[in-house]
Amino acid sequence: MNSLALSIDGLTVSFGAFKAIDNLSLTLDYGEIRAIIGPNGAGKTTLLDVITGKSSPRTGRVTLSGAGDLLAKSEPEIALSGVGRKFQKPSIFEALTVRENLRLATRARERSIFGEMVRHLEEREEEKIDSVLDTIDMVDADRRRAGELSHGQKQWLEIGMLLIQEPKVLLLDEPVAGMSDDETERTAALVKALRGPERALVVVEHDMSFVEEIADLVTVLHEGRLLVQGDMATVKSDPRVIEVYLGR
Amino acid sequence: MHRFHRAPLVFLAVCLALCTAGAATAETPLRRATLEQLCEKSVGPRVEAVDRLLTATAAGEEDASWTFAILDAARSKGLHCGKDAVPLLKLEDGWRDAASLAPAEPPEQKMKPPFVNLKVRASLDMGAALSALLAAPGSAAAESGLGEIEKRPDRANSAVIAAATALSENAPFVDRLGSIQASLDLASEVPEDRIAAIDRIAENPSERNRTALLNLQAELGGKADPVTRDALDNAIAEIDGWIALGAVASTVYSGLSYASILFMASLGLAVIFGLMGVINLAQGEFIMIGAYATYAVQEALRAIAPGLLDWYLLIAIPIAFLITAGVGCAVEASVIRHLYRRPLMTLLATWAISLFLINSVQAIFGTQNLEFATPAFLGGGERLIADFIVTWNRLFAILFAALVFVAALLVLNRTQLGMYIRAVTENRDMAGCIGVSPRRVDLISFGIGSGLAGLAGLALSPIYNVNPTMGTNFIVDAFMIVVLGGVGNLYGTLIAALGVGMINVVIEPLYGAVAAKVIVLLLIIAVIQLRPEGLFAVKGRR
Amino acid sequence: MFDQLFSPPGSATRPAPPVAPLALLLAFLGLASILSGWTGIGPSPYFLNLIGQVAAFGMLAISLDLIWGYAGVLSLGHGLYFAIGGYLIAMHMVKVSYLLTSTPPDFMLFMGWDELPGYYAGLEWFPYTLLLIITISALVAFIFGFISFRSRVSGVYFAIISQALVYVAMLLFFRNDTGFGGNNGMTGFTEILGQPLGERATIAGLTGASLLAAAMALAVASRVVRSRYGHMLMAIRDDEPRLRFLGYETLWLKLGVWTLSAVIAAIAGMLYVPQVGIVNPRVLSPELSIEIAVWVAIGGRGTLVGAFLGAVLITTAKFILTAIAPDLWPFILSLLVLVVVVALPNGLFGSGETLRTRISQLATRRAARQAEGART
Repeated sequence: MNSLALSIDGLTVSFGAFKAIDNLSLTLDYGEIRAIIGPNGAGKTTLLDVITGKSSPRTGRVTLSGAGDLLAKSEPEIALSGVGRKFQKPSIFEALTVRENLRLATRARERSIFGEMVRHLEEREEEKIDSVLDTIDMVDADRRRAGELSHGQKQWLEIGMLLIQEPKVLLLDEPVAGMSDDETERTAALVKALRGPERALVVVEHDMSFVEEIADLVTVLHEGRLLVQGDMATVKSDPRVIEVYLGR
Repeated sequence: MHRFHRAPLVFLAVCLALCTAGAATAETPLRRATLEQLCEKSVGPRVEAVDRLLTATAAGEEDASWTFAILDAARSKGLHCGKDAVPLLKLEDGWRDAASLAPAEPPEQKMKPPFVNLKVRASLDMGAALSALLAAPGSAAAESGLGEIEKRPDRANSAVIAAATALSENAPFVDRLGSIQASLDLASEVPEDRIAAIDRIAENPSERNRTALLNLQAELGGKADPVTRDALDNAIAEIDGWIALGAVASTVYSGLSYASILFMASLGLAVIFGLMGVINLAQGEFIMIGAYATYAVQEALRAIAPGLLDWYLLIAIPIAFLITAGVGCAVEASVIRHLYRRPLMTLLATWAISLFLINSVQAIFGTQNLEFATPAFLGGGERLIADFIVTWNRLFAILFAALVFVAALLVLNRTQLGMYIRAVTENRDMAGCIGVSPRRVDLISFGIGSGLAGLAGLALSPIYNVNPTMGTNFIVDAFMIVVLGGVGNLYGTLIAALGVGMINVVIEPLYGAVAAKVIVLLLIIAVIQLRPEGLFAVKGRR
Repeated sequence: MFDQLFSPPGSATRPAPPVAPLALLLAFLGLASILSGWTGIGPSPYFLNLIGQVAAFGMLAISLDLIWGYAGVLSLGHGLYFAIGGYLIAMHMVKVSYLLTSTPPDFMLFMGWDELPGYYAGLEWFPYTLLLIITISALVAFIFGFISFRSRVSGVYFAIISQALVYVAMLLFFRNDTGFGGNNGMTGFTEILGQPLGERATIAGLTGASLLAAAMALAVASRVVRSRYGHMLMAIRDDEPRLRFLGYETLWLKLGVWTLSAVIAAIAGMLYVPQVGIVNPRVLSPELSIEIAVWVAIGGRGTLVGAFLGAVLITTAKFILTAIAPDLWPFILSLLVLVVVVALPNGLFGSGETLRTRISQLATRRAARQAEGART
C-alpha cells in the first residue's frame, strides 16, 4: 500500500450548538483519488475548510506527512506546506490575464513574501506555465483576461494554478458543478491526469457518474460523521447510503 | 422653567381682585404702611414690609387674597408708585387701587414700578408663594407656590407655614408643609424640635437637605449635645446612601435616554444597511427630514388649531413617518433601484443625495436652529430617589424608542410583509421565483427604513438642535451601532445602542463629552477588530 | 452582499488610459512653474496657486486609487493622512514664524501658554519635519492597518471604521488644549524654507513642487501596480481567499500598499497646507474623506490617471463655481455624481464603456422598451 499523506483524527467542528463535523477520523494515501460524497449539510465543505485553515475545529488533529499538525498554521502556511484547494465557485483573478493568474501560483516556500513581491520569474517557471497551459488546453488564451473566460475555462484555470503549486494534497470542491457534459468529461480527464505518486487527490462532488469515473475510494459523510467507505460499487449497494440519499 | 408657572397666578390674582373688590375693607394702617414701604427705593424696608405683612396674614389680621394680590403684583412689576400718589396696581384688565383693589382710573401723573433687585425679588417671590398657600388652599397656584417654597425652605415664614398646615386638607400637601417646617425648625433652639427636624429632613434625601444638615453641623460644631450630634451623623449618613443610589439611578437613566437616541438614529439604518445591504449615507438627512416634518406639523397646528399645539409630537408621528418614507421611496425608485448590483455607486449616490437634501432644506428653511415648543406634558418630571428626577421628555424618548422597536420587530417578524422582506434579503432570486416581487419589497423596505429615520427625527426634535446639517452628527454613530450590533439583527442594534449609551454616560463625567465620544468610538473600533461581523452576528460557516 | 463594491471594474471595452504621458506632462508643467517663478514671466500668482492646490488634491486621489482601485480596500478616512502631513508642515511653519518674529501663534495666546508644547522641539528644521511626516503617517497607517487586516476587517466594515477613525481625530483636534490650534487651526504662516509665502516666486515654487510630486506619485504608483506586487494587489481585490490559498500572507501585501498610500496622502497634505495658508480640523471631517472617494469614482478607479483627472475636474469646478455661484455648487456636484453613477459605472476616464457607448446603450434599451410597450 502507498504511504500516508494526510490523516484526520477525532475532528469535531461546531457552529454554536450545531455540530458540522462530529468526531471524524479519516486517512488519505499518496497516489489515490478519493471522493467524498454525502447529502447537503454532511460536512464536506466544512472538512475542506478545516484542512485548509479556514475554520478551526473544537477538537481533533489534522496531520500532513512531512509538515506536522496543520491546525497550528495559517491558511497561507498550509498552502505552502503542500495543500491546494479548488473552490466550489470558480476562484480566479478576473482582472488579470490567464498567464498572470498562473504566474501568481508560483509562490515558493523558500522565499519571503517581500522577496516574492519584487522578483521576476525564472525561465523554468515560465516553461512550467507553458506546459500547464498545454495541460488545461488554454495555450491560445494565455493573454486573455480571466474574467472573459467561460465557466468551464475558469474552473480549468483554477486547476491549472493548483498544478503549478504542485500540492501534496489537492482538494477539489465540486469541480464539475455547472458544467456541460462535454466539459465534465474533459474535467474528468484532467483530474485523472493530476493523479501522481506524490499526490493525494480529494474530490467533493454530487455528480455520481463523475465520481464513479474518477474515484478509487469513496467516503460517504452524513451529519458530520463517516457513514461508509469503500469503492463505488460497495458504497452504491450499501443500504445506509441508499437510506441517506433517498430518505427514510 | 425654574420659576413656577405665572399664568395660573395671574389668573388667580384677577379673580381674587374681582371677588374681593367690593367686600374689601378699605385702607387699613397696615395696608398703608405696607404699600408705602413697598414703594420705597431701598431694600431693607421692602423686605421688612413683606415679612410683617406675611406674619399679619398668618395671624388672620390681614386678608390673604389682598396679600397675595399685592405681592404677586409687586414681583411682576404691576405695583406702580408715584410721588405723593396713591399706589396703583396695573393688572391685565386695567388699573386698580392698591389698598382696596377697587377699579381705578389710569393715573394722570407719571407712575412706575419700583426697581426690584435680586434680594427684593426673592423676598417678593417667596411672599407671593407663601400667601398663595393661604389665599386659595388646594388650588393650582398654591401647589406651584409650594414647589417654589420647597426650593428655599429655610427662607419661609414659619407662621405662614403653620397657618397653611392648619388650613390644608390634602395629606401630601400637609406632608410637604411639614418638611418645610422641619427645615425651619433646624434653626430652633429647642434640642427636641431640632432632632425631630433632623429626622424629618433625613426622610427626604436630596443634595439640598444634605447641605442644610452639613451647615447645621458646622454651625453647631462642638456645642451640640451628643444626642443631636448622633442624630445629625445618622441623618447625613442616611442621606448619603440615598444620594449615591440616586446618582446611580440617574446615570442609568441618562444612559438609557442617550441609548434611546442612538437606537432611534440607528434603527432605520439597521433595516436599510443591515437587512438590505444598502450603504445609505443619506440616512442622517432622513432623520433631519423627520425633524423638519415635525416642525411643519407644529407650525401648521399653531396656525390652524392652537388648542392641539400641545399634542403636536403625537400628531406628527404618522406624518413624519410618511413624509420621510415618501422621500425614501422617491430616492429608492429614482436612484438606488438602478444600483443594487453596484453598492459602490450606492455609496456615492447616497452621499450625493445627502448633499442635495441638506442644501435643499437650507435653501428653503435657512440654516438656523428650529424652535420647538415643549408640550406641557413633557415639561418637568418626578423626583424619585434623592436627586434622581425622571424627566418626562427623556422618558418620552425612551418609551417612544421602545414602542418603535416593538413595532418594527412585529412588522418584520409577524407580518406577511416582514416575511417577504426577510425572504428577499436572504435570497433575491429565490424570493423572485416564489412570486415575491423583489423590486416592490425593496421599495417598501427602503420606505420603512427611511420612515423609521423620520421617527428618529421626531423623537430628537424636543431635545436636540434641529438644523439642516444635524444628520451628519448621526451618520457615523449610526453606522458604528449597526456594525457593532451585527448586520441584519435588530436586537443586536438595540444592545449595541444600550451599551454605547451606558459607556458614554459613565465616561462623560470623568473625562468630558468629546473624550467620551472618542473613547467610545475607539472601543467600537477595537471591538470590530475582534469581531468583524459584529458582536451579535449569527455565527455560521463563512 | 458587498462583493460588488470591491469587484473590479466591469469588462473592459476600452483600455485604461496610459500613465506615462500624464506623468510627463505634470513633470513638465512643474518645471515650467518653477521656471516661471524664477523669471517672473507667466500666469498670475492666484492662478499658479490654484494649479498647485489642484495638483495636491490629484495626488491625494492617486493615493486612494492605489489602495481602493487596485487592492480593493476602500478607505473613507484618508483625510487622516492628508491631515498628518498638513498639520506637521503647519507646525513647522508656526515654529519658524515664532522663532523669527517672536509673535506667538493665536492658540498660545488663547491657552495662555508661554512657550510651544514640547513636541514642537526640532520642528523648525525642515528635513526633520519631512521625516516626521513620512514616519508618523506610515506608523499610524501601519498600526491601524495591521490590527484591521490581521483580524480580517475588510470591505464595508473597513470603510466604516476608517471613517470612524478620522472622525475621532477630528473630535480630538477640535479641542483647544492639544497644541494644534483647536477649532481655529493654525494660520499666519510667514515663510517656508526661507522663502516668504506671499511672493510669486514662492507660490510658483510650491506649485512646481506639487506638480512634480504628483508626477512622482503617478510614476511610483504605476510602477507598483505593473509589478508582480501589483498583480498580487489586484488578486487581493478580485479574490483574496484564493490568493491566501496560493500561499500568500495577504496581511503584508495589503499593509505595504496601505502604508505607501498613507505616505503619499501625507505628502499631498504637506504640499497643500502652505498653499492655502491654513490648516484646521475640517480636513479631518468625514465629508472631505468621502469627497476623495468621489473624485476617484468619478474619474474612474483602478486607472490612476482617472483618479487624478477626477480630482482635477471636481476641485477645479468647485473653485470656479464656489466663486461665481456658491449656493449652486452643492446641487451641481450632487447631480453630477448622480449622473455619473447612473450612466457611467466606471467613471469618466476609467476603462470600460465610454460615455458615447453608454448613451447609445441606454437609447437602444429605451427604444426596445417603447417597442415592447407599443406591442402590448
